[in-house]
Amino acid sequence: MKKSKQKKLKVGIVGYGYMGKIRKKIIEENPNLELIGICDANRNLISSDSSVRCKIYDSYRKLLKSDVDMIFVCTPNYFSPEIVVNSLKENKHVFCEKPPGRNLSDIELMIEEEKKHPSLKLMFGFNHRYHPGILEAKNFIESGKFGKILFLHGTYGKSGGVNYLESWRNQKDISGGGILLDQGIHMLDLFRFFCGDFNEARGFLSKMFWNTEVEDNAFVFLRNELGQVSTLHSSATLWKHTFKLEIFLEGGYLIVSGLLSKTGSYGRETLTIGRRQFEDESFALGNPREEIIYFDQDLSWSIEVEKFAEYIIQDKEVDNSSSKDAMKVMELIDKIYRDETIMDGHIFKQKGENKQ
Amino acid sequence: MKNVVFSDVGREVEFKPDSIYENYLKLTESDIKKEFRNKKNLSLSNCPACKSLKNTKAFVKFSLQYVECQNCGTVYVCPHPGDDQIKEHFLNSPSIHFWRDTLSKVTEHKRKEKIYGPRFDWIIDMADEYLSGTKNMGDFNSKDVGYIEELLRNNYFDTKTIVNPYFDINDIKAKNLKSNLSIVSDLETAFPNKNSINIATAFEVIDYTSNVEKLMNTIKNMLCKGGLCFITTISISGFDMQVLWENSRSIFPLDRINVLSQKGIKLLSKRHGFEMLEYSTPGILDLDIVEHELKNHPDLNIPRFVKTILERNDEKLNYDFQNFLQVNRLSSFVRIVLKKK
Repeated sequence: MKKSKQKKLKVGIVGYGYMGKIRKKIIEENPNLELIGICDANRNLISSDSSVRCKIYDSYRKLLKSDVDMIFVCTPNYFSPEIVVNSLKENKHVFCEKPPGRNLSDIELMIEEEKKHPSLKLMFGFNHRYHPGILEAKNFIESGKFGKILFLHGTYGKSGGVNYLESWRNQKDISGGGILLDQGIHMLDLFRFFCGDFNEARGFLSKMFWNTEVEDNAFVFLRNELGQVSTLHSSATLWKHTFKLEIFLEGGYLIVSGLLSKTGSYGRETLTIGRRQFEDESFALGNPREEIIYFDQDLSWSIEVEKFAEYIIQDKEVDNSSSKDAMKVMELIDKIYRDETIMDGHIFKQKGENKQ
Repeated sequence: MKNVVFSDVGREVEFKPDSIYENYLKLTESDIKKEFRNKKNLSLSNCPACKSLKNTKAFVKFSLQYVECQNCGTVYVCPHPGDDQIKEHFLNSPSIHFWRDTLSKVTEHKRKEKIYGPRFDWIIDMADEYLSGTKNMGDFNSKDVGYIEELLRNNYFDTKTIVNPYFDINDIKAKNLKSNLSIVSDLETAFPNKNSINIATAFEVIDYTSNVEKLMNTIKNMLCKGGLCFITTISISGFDMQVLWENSRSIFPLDRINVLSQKGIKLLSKRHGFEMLEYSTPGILDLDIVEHELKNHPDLNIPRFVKTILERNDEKLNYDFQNFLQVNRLSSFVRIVLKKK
């Protein structure tokens, strides 16, 4: 990354939980950015972190009154729309974590305000687009070597998690939805990243195991006007942290498996490239030679933040992870939630099993 | 940084048919002993990878001394032959004539399928990803006429420059394949052509290059910013090299006077200011090479554990073991992609 001679953009972070801490590190590493303030309702979260060198704010409104140029909104879903809207009103560029609010109304609210400030940039945190396996797959597909995409399968899931039952993510009034909105949204965004918009969306949602207000499993089916089909299983009961995106094309297949992450719990990130065999080849069909690429470094967070800074510095239109992308993915989720009422885990109840 | 793994199988004998390869080694031994009878024609050198002067004697092959660098573990011939001596050997020695007239012809088909084809796929995939516009490539220090012929048939590159060839260029001219081709006879002449290429290739070239420093400097100077350098080589850190050591049939002068370690390769690229985009060891032959040596020399002293694996005679186990070597960058066949910053 080049050292910039221009004035640094002043940054504020609202929300200092898991994502806020990640953003702080990435912002501090970026030569174009200067972190000047962090705000969290729980001040102790910030003051107990000895690495924090900037000013601590108790209220995000006070942070907005400072001379920050851009705000990173890293709060629970319920709070994001209001903070985004007020930041835009205060003439600040805004980067908001996914999901973009709890529902369609939330993202519509943010877009409405965005339209009033054409010079400001609004971007959402769909960092999976910048994972090395995804970028490599995207480049490969765009080279046209394997022809058109036929269909995609995605599996993204976890094993509940620490304090899963107590987490705000499972309180419907705060989160807006369950595992599909929290984690599955990344895979839906990737489906759009590869295939564009989907006009049909169906889904089965279930509360199979966890006793929460929201779904712990979502099985989703999408189809677009080209006839490309995508299926997603988003789950909080996979027990083994799993990320797998399979892309089948006319000339072969690509599989992104594992995700480089802080804990490494999703396994090593790999891209498998399999070239379709043809009838006249001498070796056995159905078991093609594969090439597997292993990736060592996750630059997704820094590429994403670098891109956001670039949009602002060069006054470019946000063309990746934009509010339009956020809107489109929320429309899909809205269709799926409307398509299927969440089924309670009545089967287990009848068997008298104790849910945790 | 990427690490690419291939699910493929291979047999050493497909590339080195036993009796023919043995003949080649015997002829090479005879040539080297004659060519370097007078050791005063050799000069002391530091490590080709990390430049350290500290080394210890490793073994002697065909009368030449191999040493092991105490800093990075690279194994290399010291005292070292000069570039002119190496070129003379690869142009005119009886062993090289045998290679070109006999050995390369027998293995030509396999080399095209398993080596040259994947090599071009690799370059094109990476160039498509990282480069835009015209593709101007330079190949450095090659002695492999078969590969150069395939390169000249390839239409992907807009211009091709053959730098410092270690073969008779009349062999190429006779085939009338020289579209968009320039030939630069040595590194000194090539060096001033700053920013003239955006793809550099050096396939199994570091292995026999007398002055690796000069080679890397020339590549770096000729590459434009963001340009890519593709290198393949054999590494002493790889499985069959570590197990067989001086008994490896792949280590002998002059074909392999520099056998760099993994650490050495990384230090070399870092010292020359390159960003390493890929370090892979997609070799498919390590275990087969050891098995083959053990069959031919049952008294060979190799680790018991390796013997145990081989005695199982289990194709699946062998495949999984070779796959393990690739995934963990422990095969001796190395391929790297460097990007000029």
